[in-house]
Amino acid sequence: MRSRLSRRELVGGAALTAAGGLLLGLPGAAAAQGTADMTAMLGAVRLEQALGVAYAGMAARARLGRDLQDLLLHLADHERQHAAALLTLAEYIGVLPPKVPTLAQVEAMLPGVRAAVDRGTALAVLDELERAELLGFYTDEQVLTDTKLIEVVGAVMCSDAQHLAVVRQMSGLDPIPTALETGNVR
Amino acid sequence: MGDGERPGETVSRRRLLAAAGGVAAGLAGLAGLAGCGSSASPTPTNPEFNGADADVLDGLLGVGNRAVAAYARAAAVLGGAPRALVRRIGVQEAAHVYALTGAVDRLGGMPTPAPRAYAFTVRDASEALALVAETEEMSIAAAIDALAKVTDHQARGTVVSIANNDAQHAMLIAQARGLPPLGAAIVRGRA
Repeated sequence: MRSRLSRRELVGGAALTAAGGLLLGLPGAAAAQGTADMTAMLGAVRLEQALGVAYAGMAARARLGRDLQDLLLHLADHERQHAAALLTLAEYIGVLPPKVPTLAQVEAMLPGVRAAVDRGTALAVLDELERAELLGFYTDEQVLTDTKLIEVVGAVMCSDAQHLAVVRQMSGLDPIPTALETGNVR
Repeated sequence: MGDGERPGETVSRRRLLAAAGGVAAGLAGLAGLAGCGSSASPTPTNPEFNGADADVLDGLLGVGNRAVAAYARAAAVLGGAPRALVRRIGVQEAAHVYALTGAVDRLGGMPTPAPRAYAFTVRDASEALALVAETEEMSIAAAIDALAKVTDHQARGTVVSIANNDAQHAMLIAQARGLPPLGAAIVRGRA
């Protein structure tokens, strides 16, 4: 069941999902915090939009199996809802809504998504994407200043943590390998 | 917790990249990155903020202590696979208590000891699973509420990592109750 993706392919995808957090590692000055919030939220919305598109695209691949296709559709719906919830707050602080990418654009940015054509590879990619997403938001949570943003990102993270546990189960892995879930543990 | 990650630790850019698999190829495009800084900004240190944070975390510690007791009560009623599950989760709840106790202590607070007993009414397996399901909903709601109140970055990291794990527990308990594992897309719990 292990991934047949090359490390490079996974990296191309999973690294992108860390974008939310990477975007945030920024300014220390209090004056820049508003900008940091905006930058973080824009990255977070783009990330959720991209994953919604990626999962919906992967769900169309029959070789993944019906149960995994159904899960992907469910996760795609969740990611779209995450994007919408984050965008509502992002617009409130001045972020302009980013355009939802096409599947081709997402696959160009996330080669792992294109390569996920069988069950084992798809599960490995899902695991990488959800963990990297959590890691990104984990950093976000420590630098955001707006309390509404902090709450909503926290609630989105809880959903993503559940996604990760379900993916681990389906992969035959321990769904809760750590008591303090940051996405760091496989 | 696994592989050396410490609760509440700020994740550096280097660690993020390592966890994501290495090089951030293609990163800039979709997320609009243009080269970012190193790590989360340090927490401003202020004894008054620390005291307020310690109070918030101590409240969360109370919720955690109740969760440990609830899982112990449920384990006493359940058998078979559900019992193994709640015992496993109970251990993680104890780890949350340990982490929160350490955080309160670090911030100069005095962790409130757990009460000697809780009044749980649990007569059968169904009620035991309902108790722990309700416990997780309360724990998630309390953690989300605490997140926005805590100013210390490390403590906020601890709280969110606990909330994430509690959300996973809620998913597993839902499965054990024969319910769909994934519910709402925005997981806030119920106070």
